[in-house]
Amino acid sequence: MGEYLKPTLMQRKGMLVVPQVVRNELGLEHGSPVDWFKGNDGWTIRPAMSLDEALNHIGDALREKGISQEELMAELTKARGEVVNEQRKSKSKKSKKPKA
Amino acid sequence: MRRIFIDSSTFVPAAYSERSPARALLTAAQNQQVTLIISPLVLSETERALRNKLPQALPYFEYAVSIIPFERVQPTAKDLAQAEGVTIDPFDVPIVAAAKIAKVDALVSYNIKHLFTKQVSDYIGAPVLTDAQMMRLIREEQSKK
Repeated sequence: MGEYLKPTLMQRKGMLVVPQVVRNELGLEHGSPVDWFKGNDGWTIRPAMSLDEALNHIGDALREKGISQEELMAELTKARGEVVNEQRKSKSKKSKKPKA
Repeated sequence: MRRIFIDSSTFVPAAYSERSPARALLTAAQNQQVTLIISPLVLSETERALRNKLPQALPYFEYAVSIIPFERVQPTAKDLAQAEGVTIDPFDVPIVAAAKIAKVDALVSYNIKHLFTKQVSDYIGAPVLTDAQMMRLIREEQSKK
């Protein structure tokens, strides 16, 4: 079951007051960064992720999928080759364009 | 503040291990203890590798990049031409060219086979180090203060 609070009115310049009960529960205070996330049920706000949390998400997901560091390093090498080749091709196409 | 160019390979151990020197390096940049420099190639190839292997991790990578105050440099065609022949692998030329123009104190990479050469460090005017070597230097410097 969800929980509803009374609607909050938007103020000038898109400012919204986060209800105190929500601020307390999320530990938000003046200057706290928040994330806006669009999921299947619409937009959600939550206290901003730390750098560690974001990187841990990636690491956990890679481990869960059984992707080793070596495999990802090899994918990076492959990606570098592809990106550099694409950039070279696009530059040579531009330089071959006939002048009007 | 030390100026350090990081290769995309630095993001891999940083994601896998909370205790890795690579993670400590990214955290030091977030805390503005060092200046980390990247180029658009570093971002493009990392995003592509993640998109191919694990697309659901991409938003977390983009978020991590957005909260680290990276300095970004883009080598010109002239910079790339000048760096030709410096690297063993021609695909590494844009990285070396970017590190050169960024006037770095070090280039951090895991590409030991191709980038850890005298030619590369002479060209960029700085050592090429692993994340562990870099963090050791930073910690030694901090302990002297």
